[in-house]
Amino acid sequence: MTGEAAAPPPGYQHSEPADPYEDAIGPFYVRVTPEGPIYAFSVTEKHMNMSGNAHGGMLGCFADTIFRLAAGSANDGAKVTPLSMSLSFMAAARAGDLVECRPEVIRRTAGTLFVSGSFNVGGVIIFSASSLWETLRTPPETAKNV
Amino acid sequence: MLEPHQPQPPPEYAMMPSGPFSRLTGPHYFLACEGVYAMLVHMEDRHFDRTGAVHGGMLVNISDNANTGAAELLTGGTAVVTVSLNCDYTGKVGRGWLLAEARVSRQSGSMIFTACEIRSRGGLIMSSSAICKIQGVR
Repeated sequence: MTGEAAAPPPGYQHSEPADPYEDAIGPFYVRVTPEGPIYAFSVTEKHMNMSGNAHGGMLGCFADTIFRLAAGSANDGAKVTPLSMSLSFMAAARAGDLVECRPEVIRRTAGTLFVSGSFNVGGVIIFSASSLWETLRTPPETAKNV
Repeated sequence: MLEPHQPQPPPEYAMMPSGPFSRLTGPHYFLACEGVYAMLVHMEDRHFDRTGAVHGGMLVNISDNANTGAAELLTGGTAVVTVSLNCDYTGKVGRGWLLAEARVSRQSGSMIFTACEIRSRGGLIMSSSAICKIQGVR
């Protein structure tokens, strides 16, 4: 792991990075609750934009990552691939903030999963997101190296 | 035509002014021409997900940067913040250059509506639209 080896916040454990990109932008944390896992990350200097707030792209990356985990879990561990992501930003996150979300699988239809969540800092929602995922039973289309 | 493993963008592209997160995930290069904010980012292994394709979050990140870049062309550099961002994932991609082209669709008061497409060798990878708010304007 090349991400910062910061100790997880109380009650959380490290969510193992699944790929190089998440390793670079993490670490991410997870806390298991009876209602489902809550994911979190601590905003640090590397997540900042030029205004000194967490970059919207970083918040989108976090949403994409944990919604994929929720969709994959709902698909019995079989592969899922993203179709769409909608983000509404309400407030900024700053260095030292712990951004938390419990992603929720809203509905499953034939071939599609609907996942959404509200992201909060200290109980105050700073952005919300909703997404669609295609459920795959076969390996996803191989990426083209161009 | 950009070659896949060409280490530098064409000379008319400049380095995008970047904070720490864009430096971590970039470099991002941009060219502003006739209302279009074009951005080039070279995809490498560090941008990949577990399937060996560019991580969806990285594509959302590029979309956010390009849409705000287009909005700031209209404001003349006055900063904007993203209020809403909608992204459709239309393809998967591996190593090589991604070209994002964003433009303003409409302005209404302090809100600027933008649209962006990310392509790899002409193939559409992500389309997005955003609403950006001009900072300091009610």
